Amino acid sequence: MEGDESLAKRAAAGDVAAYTALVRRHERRVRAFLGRLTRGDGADDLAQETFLKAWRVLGDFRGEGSFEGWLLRIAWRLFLTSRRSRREAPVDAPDGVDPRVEDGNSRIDVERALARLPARERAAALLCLGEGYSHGEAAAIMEVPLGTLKSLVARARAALARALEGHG
Amino acid sequence: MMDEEVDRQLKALLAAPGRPADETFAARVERLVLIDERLRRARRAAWRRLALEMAGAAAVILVFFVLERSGPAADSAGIVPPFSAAGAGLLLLTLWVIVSSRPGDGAEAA
Repeated sequence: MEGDESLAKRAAAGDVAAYTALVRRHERRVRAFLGRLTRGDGADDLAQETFLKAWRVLGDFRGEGSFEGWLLRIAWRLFLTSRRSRREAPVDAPDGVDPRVEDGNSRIDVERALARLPARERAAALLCLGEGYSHGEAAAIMEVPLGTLKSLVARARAALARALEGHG
Repeated sequence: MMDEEVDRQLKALLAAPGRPADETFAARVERLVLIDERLRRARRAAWRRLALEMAGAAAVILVFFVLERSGPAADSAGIVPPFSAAGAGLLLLTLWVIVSSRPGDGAEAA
């Protein structure tokens, strides 16, 4: 299977088919990331915007990190922009969602706890705890210092672990 | 619960769900990319055309300026000598008209 870097090079030269192959390969994670960040509200529009923006700036992809990480950074920036334009709460403020109802289902408990987290903690949790990105990679995606990223992950993990253990 | 067990469960709950690629989404993005590419080409063509026309206009203005500086023409009896400023001006003007009225340009921009 052709690697991301080689496909990205062909796409940057104007090969739309190569770019579509990259979209097919990465849409699942980009959409899941945005879906969880936005709680489904306009996630697919943002995902489309992410891929269109990525197409326009493909020449900037230097292959220093993973292509997916590069896409997620664009997605994160677009998410922040859309949030600002909709005058939503700052990314460090807890998001207002319905109070949690105990139902004994760990997936639902964790989803609710995740939805309640501030956006930055949510993103850090999704990247590091869900997708297995290293702290360094996640810090680069979210464009925050490494120490900040580690604190975000630690806070998110504690909240999610509480939910998982049924004390959230 | 052990830390490793918590991490394992969180990973299972937070990871993107495994599924095959969404072909509808990929096709939608491909369509958007193709439209974007067409618009970009049209924009580039429009800028090229504008630059060409500006250069043509500058050349014509320059020729008229030179003509104005060179004083009244001698007894030319209405005939413009080919190797003169006026001749060059007429040549540029003709080229400009030809370039501007190329039928392909309008189609490319649209």
